[in-house]
Amino acid sequence: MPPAAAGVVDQSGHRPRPYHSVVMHAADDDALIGAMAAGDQEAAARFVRRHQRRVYGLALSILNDATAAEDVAQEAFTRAWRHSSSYDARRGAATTWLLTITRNLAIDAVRVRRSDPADPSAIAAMMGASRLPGPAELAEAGSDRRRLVEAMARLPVEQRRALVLAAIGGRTTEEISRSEGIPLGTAKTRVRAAMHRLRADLVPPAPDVDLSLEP
Amino acid sequence: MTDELTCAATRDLLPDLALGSLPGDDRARLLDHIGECAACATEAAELTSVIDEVVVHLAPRADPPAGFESLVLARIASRPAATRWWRRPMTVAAVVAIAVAGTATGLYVTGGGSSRLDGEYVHSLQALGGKELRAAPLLQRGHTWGQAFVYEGKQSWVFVSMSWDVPDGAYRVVLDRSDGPSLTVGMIRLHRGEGSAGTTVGDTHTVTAVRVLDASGRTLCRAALPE
Repeated sequence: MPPAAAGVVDQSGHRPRPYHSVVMHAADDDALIGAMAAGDQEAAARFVRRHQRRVYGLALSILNDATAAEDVAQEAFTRAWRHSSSYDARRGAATTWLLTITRNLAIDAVRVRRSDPADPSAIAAMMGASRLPGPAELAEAGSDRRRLVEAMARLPVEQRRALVLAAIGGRTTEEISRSEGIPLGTAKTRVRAAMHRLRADLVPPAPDVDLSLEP
Repeated sequence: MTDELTCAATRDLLPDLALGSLPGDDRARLLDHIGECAACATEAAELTSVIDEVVVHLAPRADPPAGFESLVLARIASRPAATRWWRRPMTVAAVVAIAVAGTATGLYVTGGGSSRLDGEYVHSLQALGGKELRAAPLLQRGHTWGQAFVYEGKQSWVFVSMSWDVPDGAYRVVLDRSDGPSLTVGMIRLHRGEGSAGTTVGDTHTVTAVRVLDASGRTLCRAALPE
């Protein structure tokens, strides 16, 4: 006997687990990519509709050029379509996969074009302390995002700014050094320190395992 | 002189690797080291996940210019994707999840079992205009060699997965139809006895069975689809 569809009370009288928006999104993405891999263009359309603001927004934050960002965003979706058969959900969520494609393409484009990278002040202001979500917004956010935002808020502002410029602005440490007017070594230290602090905050330590053989 | 990196030198470069800002030569040397060093590999993976988290959760969103979606779909339509086969373990799971979901609103699904995410997959496929998904085991003398799935929607598709002790190689997938001769729709490649493949097809409502054939044309296993 197949289980009841979600939203229906099953024979045991239990209402099936309510949709969890994050899980549902991930499951929907997997189903869409599976259908894309089979050549379903309607699935591709839904996938584009769902993610286009994130993809375009990330490309724009790196390229600071609407035309170039649109080119990169289009290419990102095209590559997702072409490589949908190799997507493996066990290695990461679809959103991560798609944004990694986007980020790599945008960084390649900004290196080739040598177009004016995004104004670091604009990016940092957008992502900086003043932009971090407030308590009400955090309460609505998923737990992963909440943990990240809280960890970011604990970083010294100069480290947070350097990390945002590197991760979301796609800037090299040399570029950060120039735009921030700081020595290259300082730029590297800020980015690395921020990454290591976030890692310590976000990545759970390996559990202690007692391997002793004594009773 | 050796080009091999020490762990200390590697870890100094790992943030740049995670950020994608390493030059090609350094990147190659680093990846060589990571391939041999579990501790550095773990740290690399963790730093990469940090960058992924920052990008996924904090990257700004912006509305693309009008017509963006149409332009993307035009580019996609120009790529030959309609007949390709694919092999992807998680897709197997996704399809199985759909098949075991039971009867859901609007999308008629046949099969049995249970899945944690069943409702969501049905929801997605229903939203894609799905009408029916039929599933059946690929059988050979009572043994289950795999599963076959036939989906009818705006774009219909067939998917087979196999796990059985047969020689590695390519096997032919054939659809038996009630209104015409059998139709070969593609090949499934098995590695260590396992493989999966799928493709879009035309009309599927007259498909009665899915068969997997070896190179000599002998039927290895057959899935009789529910009416």
